Amino acid sequence: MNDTPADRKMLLWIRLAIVLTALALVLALMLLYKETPYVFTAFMFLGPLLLAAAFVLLGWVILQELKAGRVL
Amino acid sequence: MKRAVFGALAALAAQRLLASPETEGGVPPPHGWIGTTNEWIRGIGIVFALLNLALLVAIWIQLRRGKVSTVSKALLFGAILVLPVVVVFLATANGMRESMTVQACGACHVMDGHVKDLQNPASDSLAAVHFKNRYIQENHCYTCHSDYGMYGSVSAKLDGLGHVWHNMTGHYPKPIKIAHPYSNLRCLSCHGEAQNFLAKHEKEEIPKLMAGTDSCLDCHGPAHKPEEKTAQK
Repeated sequence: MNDTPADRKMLLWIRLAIVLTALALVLALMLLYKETPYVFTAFMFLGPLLLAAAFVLLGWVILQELKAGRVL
Repeated sequence: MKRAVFGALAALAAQRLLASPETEGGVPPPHGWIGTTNEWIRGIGIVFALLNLALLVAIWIQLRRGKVSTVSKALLFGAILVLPVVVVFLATANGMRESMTVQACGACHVMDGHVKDLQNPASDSLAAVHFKNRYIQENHCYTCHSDYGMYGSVSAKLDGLGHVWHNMTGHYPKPIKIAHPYSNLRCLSCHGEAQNFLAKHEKEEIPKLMAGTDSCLDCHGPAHKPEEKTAQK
């Protein structure tokens, strides 16, 4: 990736996707280590949402890269 | 190959470390030499989650250094789109399984009285009689408080969600009461075809029990004898 504003934006999205995935993984780890009703409820509500947001962000970055490479 | 062997060994070690016998003061349930499915789900889930986190950290460091290679892009794809799905699946399976245990139901302080009564060998409440004689092998609360069939589990989980909310907000009646009339069908699913049950109940009584006109608890109650002192929030 170069240092254009568009690249910096894409880098930011990738970092955000990494943070969201890490948060979902931490929740999953807490649930796997010791299940409590609160952790389970939090995981069931937040886990898939965080991952879905990360998917969308990364998908958007991949799409932009493909477009820039004139594949799409 | 090395990574796979290391992962399998780590999972085995993790499931050994995390294994906790459900029976306190009794003979622990048999696990076999290789452990139970749930222990493996937990162990593999933890290994995958840690591996995934390590991968994310490695990619983050590469991004900070400004080195975004094809390999790191492929790793990013795996670390955000592939591995987390596996981890979430395993964590959900573990959560679903663990949320059925007596420990999960007793996690809220308000249920202390019910759980103590359930586990009290001196108690003659219906729940305690079922527990001490192991009429139900495991998930004692869940087995009697969820309806049978596919929707039974969904309904029980939704009720559980409501219980978490009520416990968090402190909005629940004291003493704790069952939200809906207890369905006889939950009792009859096990007892309905037992010879002991059929011999002791009149033929004309059974349709009334099935229709819910008469309650099993009218003769066999109370279901619980909680110490209300411990049940107060």
